[in-house]
Amino acid sequence: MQRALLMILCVSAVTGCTWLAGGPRQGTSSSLVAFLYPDGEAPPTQQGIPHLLLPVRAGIAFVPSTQYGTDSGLSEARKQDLLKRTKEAFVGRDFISSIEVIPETYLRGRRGFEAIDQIARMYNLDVIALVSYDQVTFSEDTKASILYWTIVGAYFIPGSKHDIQTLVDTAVFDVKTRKLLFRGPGSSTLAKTSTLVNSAEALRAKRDESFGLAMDDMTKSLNAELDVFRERIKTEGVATVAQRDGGGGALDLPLLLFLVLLAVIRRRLTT
Amino acid sequence: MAALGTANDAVVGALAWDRLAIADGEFWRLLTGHLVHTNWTHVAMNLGGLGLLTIALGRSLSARRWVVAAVGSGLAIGLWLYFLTTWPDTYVGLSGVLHALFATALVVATHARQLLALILLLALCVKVVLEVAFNGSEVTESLIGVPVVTSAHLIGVAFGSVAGIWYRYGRGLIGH
Repeated sequence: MQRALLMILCVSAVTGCTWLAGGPRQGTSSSLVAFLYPDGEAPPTQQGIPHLLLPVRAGIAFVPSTQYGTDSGLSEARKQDLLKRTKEAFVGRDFISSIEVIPETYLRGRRGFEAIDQIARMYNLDVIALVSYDQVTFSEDTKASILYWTIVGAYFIPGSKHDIQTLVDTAVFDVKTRKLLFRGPGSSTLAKTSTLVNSAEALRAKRDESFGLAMDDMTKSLNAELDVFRERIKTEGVATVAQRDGGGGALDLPLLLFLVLLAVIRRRLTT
Repeated sequence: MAALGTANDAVVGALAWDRLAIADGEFWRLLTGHLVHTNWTHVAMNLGGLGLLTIALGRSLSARRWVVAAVGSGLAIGLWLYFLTTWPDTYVGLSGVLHALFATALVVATHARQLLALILLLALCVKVVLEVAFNGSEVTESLIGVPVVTSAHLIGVAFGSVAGIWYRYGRGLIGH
């Protein structure tokens, strides 16, 4: 009986080694809806049509995780690098004057559109792109992990398998009307085997890589969505645009109506 | 004439009020900027206003006085934008001049219909002040594709009022 118990303990200890590195399923996420509507309030139904002054001043930031204390697997510096990479894909577009990369820490203190308003005022932004993410990792031991029993195998046999699935989604909002202009998703799926002793390090590296690939995928789709949005402005009138640097003199409609009235009165008086 | 530049970007580029180009010596832009427009809607709004103004108050002034007031106000707005503002970089449109002409005609009209003309002049002043305070109308902005330079309207009304006072009470140095 004691031998059987000892065997069970040993098997559990070895096969559970990968799990001990963080459990078979780990995840990290940030929710855009939970960030913008922290008290569960519904978005306002009537927000008006966004009016964009071109070229627009844009900002981009990661949505802070809604689960306090969870680790996204990415340092703040790495997040900044990823956002800068996305920014580079949009620099040079003639209707974008600047893209500010906003540290996630700036958004941690407050939630909701009040936080967005603060950031927009601080950076002088017209639109803001909020990047939310969801990353799930599955770790399990392969049949080869039986060699972990040998101790040496724990160093040399890649008996731990990690699957990493990452989804990022960028939603671009007009700050003034708080209306969603367009969004672009990106995803990545990676698999990696590692030795037991290298398991945590390999997992961390792959999580990082998966984030990078998902961000690249998102950047492509965001670029495409931006072109679609430009067309929708022309065809569906989803937003109105005007040039920021130029100016024009135009009689507004109330004054024109007033002049019509005045002209009619004048004609009546003279006839 | 006000529609001059809408059909051709090169024409608009050559005639628009442009801060850098004026600094380079293209002084005609101080005046010609008022004659070109961003699009046909912009043209229609301003030409419509010019037509209505002509119908309503056309007889208040001689043709010569209309022209002098238009050129003078155009120049005043152009210079004011150049020397006393940092925005816009470019400007097109006749409405600043139209505001000036409206104010001129109203001041002159106080001779015949004092109360009505004064009320209308006051309403025009309130309108341009509110415009400046609230940055103009987004509807107009989206129709013409650029922000409305409301301060040009304000300067137009100010210059037009001075011109009207000159015509009304001056010795008539500029025609009759």
